Amino acid sequence: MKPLLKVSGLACGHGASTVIAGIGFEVGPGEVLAVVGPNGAGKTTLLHTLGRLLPPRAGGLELEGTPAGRMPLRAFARKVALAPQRTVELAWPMRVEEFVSLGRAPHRGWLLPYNRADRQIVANAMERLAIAPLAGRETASLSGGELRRALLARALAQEPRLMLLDEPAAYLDLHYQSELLGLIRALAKEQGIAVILTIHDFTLAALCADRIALLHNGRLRALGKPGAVFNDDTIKTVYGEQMEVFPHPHSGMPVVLPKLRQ
Amino acid sequence: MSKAGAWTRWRAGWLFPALVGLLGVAILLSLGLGAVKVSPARIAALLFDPGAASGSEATILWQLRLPRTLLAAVVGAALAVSGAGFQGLFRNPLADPFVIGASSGAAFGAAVAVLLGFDVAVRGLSPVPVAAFAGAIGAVSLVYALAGLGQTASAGTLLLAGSALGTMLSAMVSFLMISGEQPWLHILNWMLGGFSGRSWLHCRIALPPLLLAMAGLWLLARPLDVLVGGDDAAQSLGLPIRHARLAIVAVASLATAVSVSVAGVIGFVGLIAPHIARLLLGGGHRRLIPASALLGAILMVCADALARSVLAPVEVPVGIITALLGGPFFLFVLRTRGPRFT
Amino acid sequence: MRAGCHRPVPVGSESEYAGLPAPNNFIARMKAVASGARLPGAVFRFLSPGSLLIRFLLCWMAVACPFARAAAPATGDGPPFTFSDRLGRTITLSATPQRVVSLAPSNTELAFAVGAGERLVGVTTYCNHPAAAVDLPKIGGFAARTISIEAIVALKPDLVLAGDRNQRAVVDALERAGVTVAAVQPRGWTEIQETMRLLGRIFGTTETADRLIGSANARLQAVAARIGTVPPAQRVRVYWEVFDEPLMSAGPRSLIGEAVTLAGGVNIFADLKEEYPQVSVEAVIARDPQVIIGPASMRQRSMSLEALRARPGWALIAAVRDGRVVILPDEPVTRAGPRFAEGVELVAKALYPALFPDAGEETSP
Repeated sequence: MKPLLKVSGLACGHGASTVIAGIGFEVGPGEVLAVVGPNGAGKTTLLHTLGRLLPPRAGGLELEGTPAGRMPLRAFARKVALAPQRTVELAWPMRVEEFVSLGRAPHRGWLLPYNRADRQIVANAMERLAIAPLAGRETASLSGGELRRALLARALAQEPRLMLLDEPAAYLDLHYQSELLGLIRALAKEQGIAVILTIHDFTLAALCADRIALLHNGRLRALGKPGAVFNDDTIKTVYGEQMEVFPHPHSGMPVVLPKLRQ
Repeated sequence: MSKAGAWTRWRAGWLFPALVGLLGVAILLSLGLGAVKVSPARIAALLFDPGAASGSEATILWQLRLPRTLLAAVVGAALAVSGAGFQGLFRNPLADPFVIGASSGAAFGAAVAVLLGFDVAVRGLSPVPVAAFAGAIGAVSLVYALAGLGQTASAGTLLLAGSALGTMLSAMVSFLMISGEQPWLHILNWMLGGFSGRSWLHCRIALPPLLLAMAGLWLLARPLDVLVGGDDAAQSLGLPIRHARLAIVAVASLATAVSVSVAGVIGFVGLIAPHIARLLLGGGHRRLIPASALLGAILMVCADALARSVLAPVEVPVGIITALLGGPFFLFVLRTRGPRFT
Repeated sequence: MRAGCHRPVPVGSESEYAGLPAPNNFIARMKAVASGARLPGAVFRFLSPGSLLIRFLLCWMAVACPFARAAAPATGDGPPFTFSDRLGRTITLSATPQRVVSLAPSNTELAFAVGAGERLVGVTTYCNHPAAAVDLPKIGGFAARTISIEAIVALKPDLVLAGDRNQRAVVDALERAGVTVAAVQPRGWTEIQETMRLLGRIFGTTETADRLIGSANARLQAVAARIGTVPPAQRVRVYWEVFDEPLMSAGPRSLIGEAVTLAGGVNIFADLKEEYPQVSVEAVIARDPQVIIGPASMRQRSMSLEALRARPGWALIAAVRDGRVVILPDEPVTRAGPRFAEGVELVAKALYPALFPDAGEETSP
């Protein structure tokens, strides 16, 4: 299967520092790749570089065979959707429906009004993420979880081939976390969207991802299936002695927990 | 479509006709107010049969009040739309049309014209409005150029550059005013803003660019929506940020510069009208911009009518009235609807 | 018969009229002789050469008196002298002031008019009348903030003639600097006369002052007499434009308003309380003045007949229709000074040209 995204020798950084020295990997359509690592490892930087918010320091990425740097911004936005972790000024009062509709901009343009097809896509996106009842509410009045789902809906409305999600499960309690991640996985499989998401909870990463990428000290420490990546040695190297890996009693998937101090 | 979405769409459905109706009433009442009072019934009758007006009545209504009221409405709308644009661009609810130096530039242009004693009339207009327009555009261009010199030409840099240049220009205007004691009255009067003596000539010259600028900003509604969410979100949606920012600044500044050149510096309308519109309709610029325009027009027409009738035959500068009207009204709306955003 | 002019000019000081004979002692002796002369019979008093000589001398004195370098000591009205000024302050002068600074053009004109002009050592940049004032050292403008306290103190004045409460800050500052200052600037015609009398007493030139007041009142009465022939219904409606942007007129409480009233005109804004109200165009059109007067200090272009016709809606006004737009030199009626009567005459001529064919100069576009 031809890879959707191909990253080779990518070095990322912002400001004066180079956070990631050089990594390479591929992601295929419908695949969910979870990027994990300690704080400061460069997860968000990597995602922003993949989303072309930051220029790569070295190396490049290819999207469906085309070098991403050469694509016009709007064409790129039609293929790649980014849902950031921190939302600036969502306190600015805007109705949720309008907010999600912004995802249609790369397809419809900046000046023309939306047509019925656009509105249908937006409605579908909101339905899928269970925020349809909130359509008329102001974004400032949403809870953290509802806001993340609105962001996801906007990304979905972009009809992308690749979704970059930065901590999509943040601010959600456990029940909704697994629900949302399950939804993301289902969407990826249904619509053949490749998903790269950053997450810091290993268990959840193991549950929803096809593959895990473990970042440490600017390098790709491990890339592979959850069972392969989440083993004692790798975890201890990256996180020190504080972590332990257990197999999940029912699914056998690796569960990573901190050692409790006596 | 969801129920919530349908309800807000319905609310917008009656709000716009209501605002248009309110504007119509305001214009009608305004035509009747002033040093010479004309009853609304008579105005309505005259609108259908213009020839029936007596000599001085006709002169006052058709040559003085109608162009003046029309100009007030359009200038109010343009300032409100420009204010909405700047508030969205800078994500700052305290931004107004003069935030990047248009008013100081215009005042400086006017002061120079007055003190140098320019006497040349340009297309029938005295040199002061023309110089004011040139000053406003010049100041904004300078601010934009200065802000772009730095590596990160962000919205914040633009604000800072505008603030700095505005302060400098204000100081220079004050200096010019002190160095010559006589002409300061001219400059001061112009700075306080007003529509007295405005005629069809001013309408002919100012209305086309103002309407054009408002339409332009309405077209830029979606880029404004996206910019409001942050530069990152905007870029990830494929918005060419520098071009969008330039377009917004250019169009909003055109509206501001023309307004200021023809009516002086009238504050508060550009700040308050978009806020009230936002409280009523939310922040989506597709609806916000026309709603701000209507509210700005209503506010300005009422202010102008009061300015020339509250102490008749003495005329109060319109800027004072807009401050007195806009502030409490805004507070009232804020109290009844509750604070919606920080 | 006019009494001798007492101008206690110090002996030896320059007077612009120096060179004329000033037989002071001779006059005094002649007066003593004349009063105590024992000439036979009343009828011969008129014919005797002594009396003829005296009468000739007295007549000559009456005519030449203003130019005499009288060194006779001041009598009665001279210093020490206590008075209160317009700010309610009490000022005591121990000697006749020799070095005077004026802080207002009207004060300058009044000082010159009562004969104290040569004592002025400092004036404002706006003091342009009479011609002698233009060359005097300048101490600032008219607004308080443009007046230089240091420049005033450096001139070492005995007395500073200040404006009114608009210059309060300057008055206080000068007081603190130890300078004698009196706020004497008048506002209306009554106050102009009061100030003239006061200055006359300060400088010991009461006769000049009284003469001035008398002649001015005579002129005003002459105007009033001719105006009296016009029935009230035919009094002319006047719009006086003080400024064009903003449109500003003069209310009845201003000096202009007073001049218009004295000249027999009806100010269309006679119902307003403000001195210089900012008025609306509609009001001017609705009140339909028959004559429009504008000050010469404004640019001529904005007050020419063509310019007024071009203003939207103005073509309908009676004054513009009939072409009765008059530009007058504005200083006589805006400066509360000795030229007020002249100003009233100019206004009267502008309003009723048939009644005043001879008065003053007038420029009309």
